[in-house]
Amino acid sequence: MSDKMKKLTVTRYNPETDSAPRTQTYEVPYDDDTVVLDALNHIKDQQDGTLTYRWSCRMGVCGSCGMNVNGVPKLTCATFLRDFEGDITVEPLANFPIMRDLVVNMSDFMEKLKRVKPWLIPKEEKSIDEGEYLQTPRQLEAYRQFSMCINCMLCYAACPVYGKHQDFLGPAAIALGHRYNEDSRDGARAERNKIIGSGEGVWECTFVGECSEVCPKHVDPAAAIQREKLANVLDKIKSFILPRGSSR
Amino acid sequence: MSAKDYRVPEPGYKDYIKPYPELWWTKKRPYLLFMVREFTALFVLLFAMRLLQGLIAISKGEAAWNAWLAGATNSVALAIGSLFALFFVLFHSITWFQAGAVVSPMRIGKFEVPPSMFVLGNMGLVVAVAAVIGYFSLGG
Amino acid sequence: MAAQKTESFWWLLFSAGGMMSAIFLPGHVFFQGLAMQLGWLPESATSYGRMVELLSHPIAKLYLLALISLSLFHAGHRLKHVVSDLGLEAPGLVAFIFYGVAFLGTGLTVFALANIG
Ligand code: SF4
Ligand code: FES
Repeated sequence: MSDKMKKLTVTRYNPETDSAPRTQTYEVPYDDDTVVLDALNHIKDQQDGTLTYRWSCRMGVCGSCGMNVNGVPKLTCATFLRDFEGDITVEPLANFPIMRDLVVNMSDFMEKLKRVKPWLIPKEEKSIDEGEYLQTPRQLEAYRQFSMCINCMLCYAACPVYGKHQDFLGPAAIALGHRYNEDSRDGARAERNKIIGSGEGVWECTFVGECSEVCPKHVDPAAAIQREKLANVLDKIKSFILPRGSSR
Repeated sequence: MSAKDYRVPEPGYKDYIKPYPELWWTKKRPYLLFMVREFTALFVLLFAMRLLQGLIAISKGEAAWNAWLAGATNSVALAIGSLFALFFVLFHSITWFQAGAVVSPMRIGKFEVPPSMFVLGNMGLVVAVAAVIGYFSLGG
Repeated sequence: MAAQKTESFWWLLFSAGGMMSAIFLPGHVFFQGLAMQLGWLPESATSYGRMVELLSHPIAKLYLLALISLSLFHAGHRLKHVVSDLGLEAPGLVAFIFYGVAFLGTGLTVFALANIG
């Protein structure tokens, strides 16, 4: 590493001794390749072993290293120190309860993911003898983008609706539901709609759009939510015009 | 059916929950722009009411219309208001088409129309529509 | 606070009105607003006779009804959320006021248009 130094102001919170989070400032050496996560690792290894944070893959696929860097939700393993002019503030991911230092409580998100039934529920179950559920490249394209989510929760940290109303199902969960709804092999739209189309689902969203801005995987959860709104309304109109027609 | 509130720490835990800032929309530029976008609705509302007011005047007969018209012409105060309204209504149009490009991206055959082009094309439509409105408004 | 169950219905009106006002309103704000207020419109174009003649056409009536009514619903729905974004959490009352204005405006538009021509 070169001799360039950067100041990092990091949130510290020890639930056993602190009544509220405080900050602590460290100085770390860096060069062009240093990411925020490297800096945190440097602090933990060399300066202060008590600093607590989550990470795993270091390559933007596990989704565990999300933090607010200078107020913006980021994957810290993909955020370079060289891109910042002055000092850097590292805070736990916004909108989630802080458990310790930079670690947040993700139970709410985990629960919400389950609620949208993020798995294939075929219209009719096929036996193994009947073969695979086939899909054309075009049918794959319909949902591929929404399947790229790594559950990093950056979108939740960027969402003011979630910030204010914790009951909101939120961007990633709806995007994931949308991913299965758009899958040609799936037939459980109506079932997912019970939660996605509810007052805690898409209808709480006012399309601020920041979720899509911060998403490191270009999932575009905001688009997923608006499309679910549209599909939801079209369904209702259809069932209004043809009360007994479609089963959607 | 309400889910469990995970922002209330579980027994034995002392999770810290940061209160959400009341003035959250002042904290970030994109949030502020969002608020401006939503705020355009005020001018949509006011101008729709203004149109309605004119209609009611016409429906009441010639005298009422002429009185309303006299109030509506050569009024600097109203014109300033209209200038604001124009700004916000155009802001509404642009952001509306931006949103439209997200909700249902346009395709022409195999060609995916980029959002900026979609917005530009639609704003062209707005200008064309305004020209038609102008044609009738100017007595054509 | 969860959104209301009827939200999808209001959202439909909001969207229709958003589209309608995005396309048509700027032209009206320019001509029936700015241009008229600055005295740019020729007198003959705003005479009572001509207004009645223009507005007697059923297409003009239908157009204005759609434009005014849907714009009101669009704006009402959006402003309902603005009010809550500004920190006033009284969704029932706020919805009642804004949608009430939209319904009232729609009724008045129908009434006015029916009395023209
Ligand atoms: S949608 Fe994007 S930001 Fe949200 S959890 Fe998935 S990958 Fe992260
Ligand atoms: S450590 Fe896995 S995404 Fe950053």
